[in-house]
Formats: sequence, C-alpha cells, structure tokens
Amino acid sequence: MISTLASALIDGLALSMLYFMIASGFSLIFGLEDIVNFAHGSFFMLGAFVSYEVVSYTGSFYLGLLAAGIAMAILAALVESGLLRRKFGNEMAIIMLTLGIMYIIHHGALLRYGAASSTYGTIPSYIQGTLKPGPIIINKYRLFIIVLGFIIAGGVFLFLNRTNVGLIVRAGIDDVDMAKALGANTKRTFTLVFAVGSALAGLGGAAAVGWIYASVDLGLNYLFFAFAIVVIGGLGSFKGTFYAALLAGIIHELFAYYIPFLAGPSLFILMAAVLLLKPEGLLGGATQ
Amino acid sequence: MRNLAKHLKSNSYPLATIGLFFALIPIFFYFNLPFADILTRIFAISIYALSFDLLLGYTGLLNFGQSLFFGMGAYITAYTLNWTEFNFMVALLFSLLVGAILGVILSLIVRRSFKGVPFTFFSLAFVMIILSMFQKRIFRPVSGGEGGILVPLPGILKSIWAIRVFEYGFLGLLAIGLLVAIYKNTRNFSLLQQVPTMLVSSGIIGGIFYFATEHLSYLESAASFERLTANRYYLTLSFLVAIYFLIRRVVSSPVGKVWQSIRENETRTEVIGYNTFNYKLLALAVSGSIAGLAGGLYAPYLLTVSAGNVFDPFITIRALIFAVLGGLGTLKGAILGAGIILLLEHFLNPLIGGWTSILIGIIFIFVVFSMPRGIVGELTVTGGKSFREMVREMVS
Repeated sequence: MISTLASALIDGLALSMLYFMIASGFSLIFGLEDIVNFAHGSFFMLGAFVSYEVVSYTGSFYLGLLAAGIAMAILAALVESGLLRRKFGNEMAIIMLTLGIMYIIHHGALLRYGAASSTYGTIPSYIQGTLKPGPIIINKYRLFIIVLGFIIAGGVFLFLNRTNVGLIVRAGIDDVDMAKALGANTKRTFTLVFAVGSALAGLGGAAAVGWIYASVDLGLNYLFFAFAIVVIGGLGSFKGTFYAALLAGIIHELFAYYIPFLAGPSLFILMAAVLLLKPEGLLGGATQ
Repeated sequence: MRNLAKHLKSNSYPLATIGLFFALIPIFFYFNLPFADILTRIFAISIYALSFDLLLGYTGLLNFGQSLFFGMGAYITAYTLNWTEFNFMVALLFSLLVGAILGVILSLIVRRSFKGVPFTFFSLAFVMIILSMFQKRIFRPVSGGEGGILVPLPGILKSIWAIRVFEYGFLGLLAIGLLVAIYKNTRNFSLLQQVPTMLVSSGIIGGIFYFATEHLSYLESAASFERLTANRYYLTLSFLVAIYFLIRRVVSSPVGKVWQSIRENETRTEVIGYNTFNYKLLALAVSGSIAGLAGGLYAPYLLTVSAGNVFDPFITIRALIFAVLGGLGTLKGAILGAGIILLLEHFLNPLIGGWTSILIGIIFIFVVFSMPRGIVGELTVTGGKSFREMVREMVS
C-alpha cells in the first residue's frame, strides 16, 4: 500500500521533471516573442537520440547528456538566426517553418531508427538498480532524473532572477515593446533563450532515454505535453510552468498506478478543466 | 437552359481538364495500370487536403485533429461493409455524417478556446487520445489491433455497369468541354477558318470515343482487378470533382464570406453582429464531413484500416504541406500540391528511399520562405495579372 503510493509519487516526480524540462523552454520562447515552436518536441526526441548515440560510442553517460544539450543549442541557434528571425511578426509563417523543421527531424529519425525504441547500454552503476529504505522501493535512475530536474529548475530560476540577461528576459515577457524602447537588445536575448530552451528540451530527452526509452513518437507526444503544461501553468509564468509540471506528472503517475485507464487522457482532462475554470492558467493572472 | 450554357462557357477549361483525367484510364490500361492507382490515391488525399484548406485557408482555423475525421470515416466505412448489408454509397454517407457529428462535438468541447494555437493543440490532443484508446487491448474488437480490420471490396467497384456509366458519362463531359472551349477561342475566326477547326476537333473527339469503346470491350473481358482499378479511379475522381465544385460554391456564398471575415478579423466580425461560434462550428462540421468522406473513399484503397495508419497526426501535417505548397485558400492549390508531392514521392522513393520526406520538408520550408502565397497564389496574383495574361505577354 505505502510502497505503491511511494513508487507512484517518485515516478510522478520524475515524470514532472521531464515535463518541466520540455515545457520551460517552450514557455520562455512563447513568452518572449509569441513564437509557438512546433519543433520543440522534436528537439526533445533528437536530444534523446543524440545522447543515445554518444553514450553507445563513448560509453560515457554524462558526455551523452552534455552532447544532447549542446547539439540542440547549436541547432536551435542556427534555426533561429537562419530562418525564424526573418519572419518575426508573421505568426502563420513561423508556425509553418517550425512545422517544416519538425517534419524533417521526424522523418530523419524515422529513416535512422524506424519504429524501434532504444535505451542506454551503459549507465554509471550508482544510478542503476533500486534503493530500499523500509517497505519503499525507489528506482535510482528516477531519483537521478528528479535531482537533475531540480538542479536545472534552480539554475533557470537563478538565471532569470539574478542575472542581467534574465532581467531582460523577464522584461521582454512582460512587455516586449517597452523592453525594446528602453534599449534592451531583445533579439540577441531571444536567440539565447531559444538556444537555452532547446538545450533544456534536448537534455530532458537525454534523461528520458534511460527510463521511457528513445523513440520517434516522443516528438509529437512531448510537444503536446509542453503545450498542455504551459496552458495549465499560465502563459508566460515560469513558476506556473514548474508547478503545473509537478501537478501533471504526479497526477499522471497516480492514475497510472491506480486507474490505468485514465492515465493517457489525464493531462488532457487537466488542461480542459483549467481552461474551463481559470482560462488564464493557474498562475497566469498574477503577472499582469 | 441559357444559364447552363453560360456555366458551360465559363467552366469549359476545368471541364475539359476533368474530362481529360477521365479519359486517361484507357491509356493506363495499355501502358501502366499501377500508375492509375497513384492518381486514385492523389484524388482521395486531395479531398482530404481540400477539407483542410477549407478550415485553414478560409476560416483561419489550424486543426491538427483533422485526421480524427479521416480515420473515423475510414473505420465507419469498414464497419458498414463488414457488419451490415448496406452498400458502399451508404457506407460513405455514414462516414460523412459521422465526420460532421464529430466536427460539432469537437467545436462544443473547444468552445472556450476556439481559435489560434490553443485550438490547434486541443484538436491534436483529441486525436492523440482517440489514437491511444484505439491501440489499447480493450478496444481490439473495434480497432482491429495492430493489423487493423479488413475492408471487403465494395460491390460497386467490381460491377461492369459502373464502368460503363463512368466511361461514357465522362467522355461526354470531355467532349462537351473541349467543343465549348474550341468554340470560345474560335469565335473571332472567319467562317472559313471556323469550319475546318471544328471538323478537326470533332475528328479528335471521335477518335477518343473510338479508342474508349475499343477499350470498353476489352474491359468487359478484363480481369477483376483491372476493373477494380478503373472503377476506383473513376469513383474517387467523381467525388473529387463534386467536392471541389461544392466547396467552391460554399466559400463564395454568404456563409463563406463570413468565414473569410472571421479569418481576417474575428473580433470585428463579432462586433458587426455575427455569432462567430456558430459559423466556426459550421465550418468544422462541413470540413469534418468532407474529411470523413475522404477517409471512407481511402478505406478500400488501404485494404486494411488500423488506428496507426488512419489517425496519424502526420496525415494532417502532410495535408498542410500540400495546401501551403499549392497556395492556402485557393482550393486548386490543395489538389495541385497533393499531386506534386505524391508524384514526387512516387518517382523518388525507389531512388532515394526515405530521403524523399526530408527533401519534401526542405521544399516546404523553401516555399514558406520565398513564395508565401503558394504556387497557385503566386501565379494568379502577381502584379494583378492572371497566369494566362502573363503567358500571353511572354509569347507576344
């Protein structure tokens, strides 16, 4: 009884962290330039595969995580400065361009991996197996995801609240025109945010490989998760995104353990409920 | 009668084109029958792309859950053919109705966020939930599991009478279209020039008729799969033509004008006094019914219907690529885009395999970047001149 509940909560927290890693970048990108990045889920999926490849070539788990983050940051910076920047202000064109990138990444991954799902061959021994304090069983890899997620959340929080660039980002989310008028270089900041956000997605994908496996389906699924989390938490609210990810992940795993039938649609139901009861999201109204 | 003559005159080129497509099938029989199947597929997918264009190009709604209608249409047709005594036409009617009902249900669910990106993701969630439900073990009797459910061949696709009706009916269409087009272009000729032109063209049309009759007598004795190919080709093409003219009629009606005004500025439309929710609901229902019909038509082509191959959101993304490549909000563009991309895939797949999809993605990004109005859009509005005028200028 207690052990099931504990496992559900641990799994829920780990899933929350994956949700958070994909949704935080999506939320920042949307908040700053009103860009809906349909390729965000594909960055998550691509990060998973990059990490998988690097780990299977070099055998180093942390190198894989790092490579996924860096590769996605570079790819995102190229996409942003080469394509998206020239179509700013044209919402439909931006949607089409990111869709095109998603289409290319999806089919590229299909070409290489097909319908197979892959996981790491080697991970460090201290995150393998389980911990058993009393009746509770804790999967060490999921614990690792939780720790990683909290570190990243703390890092992004500090970046937003303690650095000058973070100040510009927050100002831009609040009112981008005013931030520009006051002399902030929002364009360069946006490139940075786009790259960092995508790097977080790639890192999330890399972390997911050891638990839910890397497969091509991740792209579209996690794109939807990212959007749902951002809607639940409130557009443009970073704290809201974090709490919404916690809520959604834990609810999903509780359902998965006790009412498996409802686990799949749980996020959808949560999003629909939030939209009906509080359309601006859990913490959306606070900043305005 | 005069009205009809006027319509014939203003539509003689499209009529002749359509007739030409109908007349193609005898040629396929002599040269390359499988190619007719490619065109059949293009026609069915074009109907789906049209339903997508109706929503995005005319109402401004980007619906990622469009494959819900398509997939349900395919499943309903498969159910009807499997479990009831109704024939294919009734099955298609059911698919159409189910598509419309699902459109209404979807719009009632998303009523609070019925625009822009929230709607896109809501509809995507909707189709992904249905997809995952259909892949669950409990729903196996309904969904057919991994392998899907078999679609029995509809009787109409095997009948010889269907072929006769299609063949003669649409050859007649071709003849009328050609004659009217020739008459229109030779009106300024003197009588001395007009008579030989008409004689020559009548000769050509007669030749086509002779060719077709020969071919028909061949079909009477042809193997059943050949008859199947021909019937499927004709049936899908007829539906495409009917749907195309229907949508063209609807989008230029008062309702269609309100849709376009919602696309341009929804708040303003609402302020003028239109209940925009009702209009969007109607758009989604109409588009859903057409997508359902497309699914129903596609089912006998697929042979087996499984959740993975009819609910896949990438079907919708492909429809978007077709519509954007050809030109959003032009209708012709959706058909042209589907034709170009599917033919490209047909010819390139044996050479470069899966790289074709990546190439298509690159072409799509290029088109969005450098010709945002799409092929048809760029050709028809450049400098306010029509395509025909541009060609005429270039020649003279």
